[in-house]
Amino acid sequence: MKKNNGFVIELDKECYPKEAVIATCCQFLANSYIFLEEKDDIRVTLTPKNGIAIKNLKEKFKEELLNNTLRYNISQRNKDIRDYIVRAALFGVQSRAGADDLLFSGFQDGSASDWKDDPLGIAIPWEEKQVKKKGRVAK
Amino acid sequence: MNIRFNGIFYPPAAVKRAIRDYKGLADFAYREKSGYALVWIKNIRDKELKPLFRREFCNYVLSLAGTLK
Repeated sequence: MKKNNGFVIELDKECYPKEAVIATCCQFLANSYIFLEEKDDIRVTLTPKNGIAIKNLKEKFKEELLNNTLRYNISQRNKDIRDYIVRAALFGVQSRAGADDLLFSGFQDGSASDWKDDPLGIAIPWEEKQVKKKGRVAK
Repeated sequence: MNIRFNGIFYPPAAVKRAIRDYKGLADFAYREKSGYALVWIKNIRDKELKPLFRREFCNYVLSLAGTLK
């Protein structure tokens, strides 16, 4: 939609988080005047400043918005592990207690505590297995 | 002139800070109502700034919104 030398870009608020939209707008503040509104969608009113070419501005904005959305999603996904790394770096050993909880938090079926179980005997060292077998043979 | 800033994108702290920084250039009135920050601007001192004042002010609030949490 075109409006007074500028554009109104309508964005689906379920696809684009507001943090990504604001970050993208901040990148374009030097080139254009921006105003944000929200109704059913997010409405970005973008008017280029004097002397700035309007050409491709809309496409560039959308491109940057996609980049920022991806960055935001990745940062949300890695938030726990990033927090753990920072905590470990700052507090060292103290934070190790919670490491297992964090690393196995991905198991949603409650199997986080079962990982130490060894029903197939995989964790038994080879030597111990051999001793057991020899013991049986000797008997 | 008046401007309605949606609280989702423009935190009240950013709007108040922008008013504080711009108060030497014009007279401002501020009010919060149903998730919006309402700003009234009067008596813009520099007439050359008048046509761009609203847009520049909105840009400044947005830049603060990007930095303030």
